[in-house]
Amino acid sequence: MSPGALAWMIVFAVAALAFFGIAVIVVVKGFADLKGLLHLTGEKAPNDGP
Amino acid sequence: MNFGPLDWIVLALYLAASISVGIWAKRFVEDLSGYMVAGRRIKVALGVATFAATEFGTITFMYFGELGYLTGFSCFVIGVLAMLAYLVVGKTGFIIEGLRRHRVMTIPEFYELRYSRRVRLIGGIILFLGGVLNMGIFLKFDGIFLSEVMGFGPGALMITMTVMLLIVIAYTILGGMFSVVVTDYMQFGVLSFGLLIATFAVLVHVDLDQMSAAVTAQLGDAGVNPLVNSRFGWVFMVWVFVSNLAAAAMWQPGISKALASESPETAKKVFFWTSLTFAGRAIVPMFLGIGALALLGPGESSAAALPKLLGRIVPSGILGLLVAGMLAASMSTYSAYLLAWSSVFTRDVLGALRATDFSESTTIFIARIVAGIIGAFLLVFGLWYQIPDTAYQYVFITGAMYTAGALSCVAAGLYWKKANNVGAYWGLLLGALSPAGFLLLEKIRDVLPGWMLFITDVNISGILSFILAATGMILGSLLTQEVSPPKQLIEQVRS
Repeated sequence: MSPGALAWMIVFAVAALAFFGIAVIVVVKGFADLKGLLHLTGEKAPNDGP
Repeated sequence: MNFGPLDWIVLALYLAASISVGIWAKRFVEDLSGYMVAGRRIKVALGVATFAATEFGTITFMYFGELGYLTGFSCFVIGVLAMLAYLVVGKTGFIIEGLRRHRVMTIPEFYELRYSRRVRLIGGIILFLGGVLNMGIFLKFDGIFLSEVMGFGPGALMITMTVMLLIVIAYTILGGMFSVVVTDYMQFGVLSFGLLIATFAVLVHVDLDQMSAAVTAQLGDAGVNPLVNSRFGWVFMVWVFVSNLAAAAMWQPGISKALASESPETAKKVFFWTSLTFAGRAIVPMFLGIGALALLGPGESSAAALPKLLGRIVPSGILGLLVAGMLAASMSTYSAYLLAWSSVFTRDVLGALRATDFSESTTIFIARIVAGIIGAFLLVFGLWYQIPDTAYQYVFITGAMYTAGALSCVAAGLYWKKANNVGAYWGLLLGALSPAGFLLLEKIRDVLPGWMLFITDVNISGILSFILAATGMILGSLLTQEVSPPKQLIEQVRS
């Protein structure tokens, strides 16, 4: 494998790990955010005039 | 093709869940801000999910896969530049913090605050045209993906795409941003899983040495060095960075997620974390495209090579999950785009033609009708339009029609006190000039005189749009300070 290809393979590994890692965190933590958002919708947001 | 009964069941369950959840979310729409920016209550993790889902459609998967197939590793630089551009916006709050602070729902709304209602109208028209043209090819690429992976004929394909679009239109029209956010969350999980399946499938069937050898054999040095690749080079790289910076701060479907955040600080955090997914969003499909080059060879249609490979190597049962993941990616993108462009047309084009704004209920009613009309246009346009150059470059040149002028107007409007109406007009119109010239003149390239051929180079045309827009804003403002005194922003500090 050429040095150029090897360097891009490493970039791919880092980029893929970041994408899938953040995806897992966001899906887990986002569920709590989503529940909170839907729970709050009956109330008016502070300072939020029509 | 491996698409079997189990895959159909998975797909049907996914589509049923999407439409049920999307329509269920309609109950949370209480007013206009609820419909367009989900009441501005989005927190960081949910913001990242909905933003990342919006920015990743089947079209994204397809055009990055196409680039990997055509240009090897050298296109990876696009992912790195996109990540850096979004990182700059996320870390500095460039533009997004100011827009969120002024509590606008669309970018042209800011034009009225800083310039005039007429600038809002012109900006709204350019944004709407650029945005809908940009979205025009999405359906075509979704069609190619499904056709290759599922083995459909053209007739069944049309029906499937129409059904998918109708589902998205239904829940976007009814539930607005609430439905978009709730379905985006679900779709981000499904699309990430689908992408993971595709990555594993390619890694199981192709080893890394084989990929490197295929790139070297077909492309030589141009396969690893973007500076010597004839499709790229310095002009392209500067254009990609600047246009990603502009898109990050200015692209309505994405920025609407920042404007829906619970505070300007949350908007910055959403951008920061989403930016870290941007390298993977590009590089993972590009890597899979190289896998297609290694396994299928260079003779395939560049757009169809990756889905063709996946249709062959992903086993039945799992293929349904992959297709559901890609449909999830498309649906989240369509819903956000439909909402963004219908909001812009209703509020910034039709609304700006009147002396007073529409009432909230009328705005929502008209936006729903416009979303339906855009959907019908997408079906027609997507089927007949022939894309010049690669799909990636088409998407960026149509985006530049709007982002170039908008970058000059909004950045100058927020950070330069001398920016005035005339500068805004010049910036918007000159920014749209070279991309529009490219789209029109590229079709008659053969009869153009030699000195005009530069405009048919997509990279030159793209970077030129940003230079012209900035020049128009600066010169237009400086030369007309007395006849058109700048209007200053009234700070709206509420979060």
